Amino acid sequence: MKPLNRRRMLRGTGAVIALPFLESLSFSSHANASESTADNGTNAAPMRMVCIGLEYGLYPTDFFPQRTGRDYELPRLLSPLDGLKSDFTVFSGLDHPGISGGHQATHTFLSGIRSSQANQYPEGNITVDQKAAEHVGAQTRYQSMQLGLGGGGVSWSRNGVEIPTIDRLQTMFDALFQETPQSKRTRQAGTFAVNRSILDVVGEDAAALKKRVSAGDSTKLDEYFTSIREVEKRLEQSAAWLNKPKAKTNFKLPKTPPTSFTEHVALFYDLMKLALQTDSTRVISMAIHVWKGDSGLAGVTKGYHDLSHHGRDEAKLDQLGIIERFHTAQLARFLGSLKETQAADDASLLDRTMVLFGSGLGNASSHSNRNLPLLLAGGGFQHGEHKEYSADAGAKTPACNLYLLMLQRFGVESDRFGTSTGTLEGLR
Amino acid sequence: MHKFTLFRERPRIAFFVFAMTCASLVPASILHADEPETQSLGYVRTHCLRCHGEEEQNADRRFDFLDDEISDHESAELWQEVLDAVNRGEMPPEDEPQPSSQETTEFVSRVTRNLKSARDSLSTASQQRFRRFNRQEYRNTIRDLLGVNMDSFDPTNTFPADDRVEGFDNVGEHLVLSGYLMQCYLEAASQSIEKAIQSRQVVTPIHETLRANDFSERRFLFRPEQNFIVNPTGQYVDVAHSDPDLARLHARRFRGAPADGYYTIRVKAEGIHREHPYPRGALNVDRDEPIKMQIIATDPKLARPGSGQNSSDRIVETVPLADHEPRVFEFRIWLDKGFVPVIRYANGPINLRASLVRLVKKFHPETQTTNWLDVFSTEPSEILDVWISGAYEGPRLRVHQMDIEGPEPRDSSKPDLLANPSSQSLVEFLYRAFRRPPLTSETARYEAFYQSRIDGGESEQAAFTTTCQAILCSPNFLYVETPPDPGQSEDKNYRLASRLSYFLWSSMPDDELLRVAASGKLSEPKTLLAQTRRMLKDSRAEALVENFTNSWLHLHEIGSMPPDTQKFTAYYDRQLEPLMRRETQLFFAEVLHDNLSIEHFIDSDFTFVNRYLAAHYGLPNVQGDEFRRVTLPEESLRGGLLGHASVLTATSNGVETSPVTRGIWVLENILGSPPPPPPPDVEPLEPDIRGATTIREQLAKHRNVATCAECHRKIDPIGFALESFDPIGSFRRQYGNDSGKLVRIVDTTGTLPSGESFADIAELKQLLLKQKTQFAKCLTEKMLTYALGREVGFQERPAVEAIVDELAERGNGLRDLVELIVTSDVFNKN
Repeated sequence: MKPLNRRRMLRGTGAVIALPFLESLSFSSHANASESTADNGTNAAPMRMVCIGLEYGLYPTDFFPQRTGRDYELPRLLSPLDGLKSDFTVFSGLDHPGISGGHQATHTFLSGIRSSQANQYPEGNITVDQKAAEHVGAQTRYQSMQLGLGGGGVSWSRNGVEIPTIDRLQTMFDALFQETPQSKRTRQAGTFAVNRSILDVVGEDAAALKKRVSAGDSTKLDEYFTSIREVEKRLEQSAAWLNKPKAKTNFKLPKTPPTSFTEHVALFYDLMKLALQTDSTRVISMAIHVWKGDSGLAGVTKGYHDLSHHGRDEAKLDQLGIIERFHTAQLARFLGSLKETQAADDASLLDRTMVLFGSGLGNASSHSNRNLPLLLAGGGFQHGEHKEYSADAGAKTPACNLYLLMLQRFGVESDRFGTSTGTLEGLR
Repeated sequence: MHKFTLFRERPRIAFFVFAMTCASLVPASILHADEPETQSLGYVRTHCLRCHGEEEQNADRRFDFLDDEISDHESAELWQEVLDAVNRGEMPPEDEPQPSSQETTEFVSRVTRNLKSARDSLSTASQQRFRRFNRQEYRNTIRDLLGVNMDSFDPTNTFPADDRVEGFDNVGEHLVLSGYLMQCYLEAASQSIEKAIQSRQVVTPIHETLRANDFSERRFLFRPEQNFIVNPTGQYVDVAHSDPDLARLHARRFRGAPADGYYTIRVKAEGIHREHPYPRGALNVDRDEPIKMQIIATDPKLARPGSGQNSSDRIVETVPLADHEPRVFEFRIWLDKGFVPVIRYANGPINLRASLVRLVKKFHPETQTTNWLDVFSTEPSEILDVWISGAYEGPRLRVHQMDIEGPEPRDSSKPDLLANPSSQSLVEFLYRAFRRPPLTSETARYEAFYQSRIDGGESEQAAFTTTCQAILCSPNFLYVETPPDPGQSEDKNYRLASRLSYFLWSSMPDDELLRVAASGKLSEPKTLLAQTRRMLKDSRAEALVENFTNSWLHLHEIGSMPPDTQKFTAYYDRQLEPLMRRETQLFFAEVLHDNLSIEHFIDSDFTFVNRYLAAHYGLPNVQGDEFRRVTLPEESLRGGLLGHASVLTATSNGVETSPVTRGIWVLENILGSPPPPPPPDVEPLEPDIRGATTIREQLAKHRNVATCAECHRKIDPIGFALESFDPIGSFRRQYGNDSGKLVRIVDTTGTLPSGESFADIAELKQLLLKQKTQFAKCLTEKMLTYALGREVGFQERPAVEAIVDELAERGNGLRDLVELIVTSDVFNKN
């Protein structure tokens, strides 16, 4: 598998990030994906998607509510989300069929398919966020953004490649707000120009060919013309983004770069909100692993991985609880900030952003990948419940059914995703 | 009929649609009272309409709108279907009143005549010949056009998957070109040209010797680890585990191959403690197997080479090591620039940590430090006389050193199309890329493009490569055959050359084939045959074996529902999947190259196995990893494709077998009479299956419902015979329940709709052999689909029948079939 080393030229001084899908590969396969301008004030606010994956799971006893339906009590880990109860849904009983292996399998969180088996599936092990990103295409400057704290990412492309992540705050900030240096822009513009002139000449070839073909073949050849036109349009858009000024902001990263884990996580959430607010991207994923150095959490003395192997030890569970409540508190803060931001006349940014929070690990202590902790907020769904999907006559509900529902709400016309057996029932 | 799909694929509503279309396109209906009724229509009214008319439409077929005048393809296909069913004796069903044989004969001859005249009038209507490369063909063409080694380079890795129709991924109509793919083509063209240039880079050859300290500096293990790699004395490195997701031997000092090329790697290694003293089952290793070393080529830019598998890994070779005897193993391997070789212990213990904990507790307690079980500690809490790594007597791979030498000088016998920017080279490149002489207008166009690049400031070399990049995006390159220009008569020969080479090689014609095309003689049968024979002997014909078996036998489905990891550990431990495919490919290749009868596909007395597959099949006395031809024992049930694990796995869902899936597979791919998909609008029947336990019992209850029974009586018996084989093709006499206990005997008896009965798969195969003409027709249609890159239908029927007749005369040899197809008008005169 050939690495995308042409994209490596985009790495470096932080101006533009290694985002393999920036200009080249994934374009919207739907011709009706709307034209967009940099300021989206005129469009009905489009849908966004954020997926957050915790590598070490969440302690099930403190995450899954006892009762189902609307009148459930928020367990310990969900109590920070108190004021937002009607804005999210908790799911229990969902997981990925046939997936096991503990940490080796957590990368299947957003796809349901192991990377080693990706080539057996028509769309590889593409993750739900990337499928959504393909739909967005070049409507935003960045088709998607992938963040990874303390480890690899949680997003995979359709060809079994784990998408490289941003792990430095400055890199993300620059991507959003720092203008690309002229030299890089010139080079990129160069590639766009070469491709456009190639399309011109091969288009002439095709036109000449068209005169010689039979009626039946002519229809086939029309596919070629349509494809050229599509690509020309995308190239124009990407070239247009090159010269479009980036969004401006008053937000500043702290002068001394933060050293603790907690500060990093919090700031990344802030940048995610800004990215969505400025419509720099509509699809973001964030993978949260472990910290190096200072955790920033008072009362936590042991390592995160160690603590996740609590073996029901009280002391370890206490410390683990501190970490996990931090995560859910940050989620609450993020959701709150989205709720307070307006996206359209009648909708908050939270209404137009579906936020998936969870893990590919069901139980870190036993390394089980069953019964994944999953929470979905925003996106205009009718929330407020704890939904349980028990194994009914032996058939479990795949988590991909939820992802398929998300994709369909996002606008992707598909009737399957990953290992889905249908669209999730019970959530509208 | 080719509008039907394998049971599990997305149901096509084609039949529904075209039955409706029939209704709207064919105005004169059988119900018109003022038209005199013809014999054929009368026959249909009397014997068919009750179940296939206005009131009932069994199996979605409705014939009351049929007309004697066949004026469009849809009704032609429908009539052909009617004819086939009557000819096969399938319709009317045996429990319905039968027409007299005279009626039937008259009916058959009339309908056959009508179809023939329809064929003539509808012949050139919408014959589509335009088809783009699929991924495989694109890759192979780049390989042959630019002379690039594709072992680790795949410009198509971001291409969307090609649509498969009845298993075939080279059917033009379904190979769509989208904007997404076009963008991929732009990218791939650029990458391929860059790669071609990079691979011409000449560097001073290197010779590096990597020793123990270059691989690892860890002297000992004080706690049980998955990752058992130690260098105790500085003279060698021991690897005691085989987990593919964990560490491998890699020397960081070696920065990677300086340029693309062939390198000679020499590794001095031995196997230690294959005969270990621990009890059987303590370590999950086969003591009877030699310790094996695996060399993998990998890209350090993609992931840390030493830390576990990644997508750039390419297994170069696996070799057995001698016990306690260091030997030097030499490999000649291709390395892309920057790639490095890593070493892996191929068949050692996995999950070693768990085993080590147990073994240390029982056999080596003296090696336990106080923190020996603490996964997070990095230092021993006290210094002992002997460490775990020293005391452990389990098997290890011991590597003393690795030499890397190369690259070898390039093969400069092939012309370098990109080297010399000139008009001449441009024409050369166009000729090979378009697979025909370029038109003057085309040459002019690309010359103008080249000039515009120069005008834009590019150097001559750069402008030339950009022009070549553009050529690789032209439809004349991307589509297998481009239509003839009326001005050029030899064009037909060039198109034939492309069609022939994509059939036999899934790649572009070579120089010799192009020369023969240029001479204008290719369409002459003698020359065509000679070229076909030459091409079949070429190693590129591997593509035919691989791609045709994948398509025809649906082997691409293997692994789409991976076998359950717990129930079928052998599948993963022994890496059975690639072995299964290899068996079928070698078998097909043997039948092809020796021109054996195609009946071998139904039943045969030989197959190809290596030690693992032989063990899987219960065949005795096969040693070694290489595949070899074996004669099957007399009583073996394995002969023919129906005994191949590949087919048996592809027709299962990874957990259990389905007689319905397997039965349909046989009907579709052996007998060529696929049943229609289950009716989409029928309420899913809830047959009462309480009390039914075996699959036979469950399906028997489904057969009690009349509408299902019609098709299932054809499907199920075949599937039941195949119940002798489990989801990964192992033989079983009894079913096991979830906890592995054997519960019920497998009942493989059955009766075909013809009334013939069988006791097991062996007897069923004898019955199938009696239908060898039908099989020949099926195989011919499949191969013709593959050869032409389009679906074949009633129009090709006469050609197919002629081929089948001639084939039977010649003894039904597979190679004869290929030759008959190539020389048939439908292939030749297109």
